[in-house]
Amino acid sequence: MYLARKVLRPAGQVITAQDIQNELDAVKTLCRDNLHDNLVHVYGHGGLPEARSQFFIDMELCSFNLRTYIYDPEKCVSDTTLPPGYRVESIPSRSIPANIWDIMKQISEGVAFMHNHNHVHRDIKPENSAFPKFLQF
Amino acid sequence: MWKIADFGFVAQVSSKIRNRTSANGRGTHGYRAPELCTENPLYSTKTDVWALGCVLHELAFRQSAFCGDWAASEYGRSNKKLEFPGTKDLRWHDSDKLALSTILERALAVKEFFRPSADDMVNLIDNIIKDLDALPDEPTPLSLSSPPPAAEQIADRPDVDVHDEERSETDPESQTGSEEEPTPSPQRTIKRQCSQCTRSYVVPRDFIKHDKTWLGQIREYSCSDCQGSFARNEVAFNPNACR
Repeated sequence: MYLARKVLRPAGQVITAQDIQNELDAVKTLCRDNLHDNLVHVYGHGGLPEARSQFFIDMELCSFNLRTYIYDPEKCVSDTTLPPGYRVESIPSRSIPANIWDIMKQISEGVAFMHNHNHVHRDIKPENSAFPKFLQF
Repeated sequence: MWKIADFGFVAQVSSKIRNRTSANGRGTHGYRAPELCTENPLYSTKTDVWALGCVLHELAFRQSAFCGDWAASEYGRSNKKLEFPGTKDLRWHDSDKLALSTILERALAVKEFFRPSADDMVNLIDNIIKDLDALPDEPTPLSLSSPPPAAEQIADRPDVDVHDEERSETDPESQTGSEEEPTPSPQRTIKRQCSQCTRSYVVPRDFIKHDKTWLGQIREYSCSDCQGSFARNEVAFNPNACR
């Protein structure tokens, strides 16, 4: 089992302590117990013992994000952990991935779940939607 | 299975609609809605839907919808219709193109009132997937050469289409007699009359009914010009036009 640990540290004006508190609160309410399939699963969170101002979030490891999938699909080809429907064979330029509606539906479902739990994700973009590395079938 | 990550900017709103949090410089340039480019930016759930529309645009065309905040606010201030880059090159089915442009125009509406909620987005995409699955793989060519329906006949639109089809099948004289009609046999099209400007326009035959709301009905029976002006809230709509 592999995890990705995201370390948060308040650094000046870009990320404030309030942001970190917001993120921890949101993760606590939205990502626990695999509530929704289309939100990244978080296994744990807390503060690092050596520095009091540092926090971490343990989330599932993701192999690539949607931006890589759109603009550089060759990187995603080598990934053999993908199920057959999502595996990218060579995409010629100026054509579209056939499962565009499927991808879009999954992302919208995740956003709709957040909205129904009274949270707004204020930074939706292709970089922030990722494909997990180890899928459980 | 795609997952949403990075909850760094998540904020809580106490109610789903009409509740906003301040957004001072949050989000990423290019995915920010025009209402965030004002002096006093406020964030609501509809602003997430704008970003969803940007993601869909990028998925479909491999090109970002707006290259920055300036482009988005410029689009919000101008009354231009949304332009799609190089749609002719894409090997899309006609109904797929139509579904894409319809859902993009709604998600990227300037006024946030006209954007669908995220739940509506899921329903719209669900309907699109269902309708695309129901389509036959190879479109059968249909020759529809008929005059546009008269003003009295608009009241029963589905019947008009049936009549035209029967007439073209039964007597070939009417088909050969109309030389000035361009024969749209490869595209399966229907002629309709716009309920707003009463001008005849052509839609693909496998037009997808996206939603059953009054807004969807009006959009279904209006030409593309009227739809674009409606997205920008220029035209004052009369509810009687929606049947």
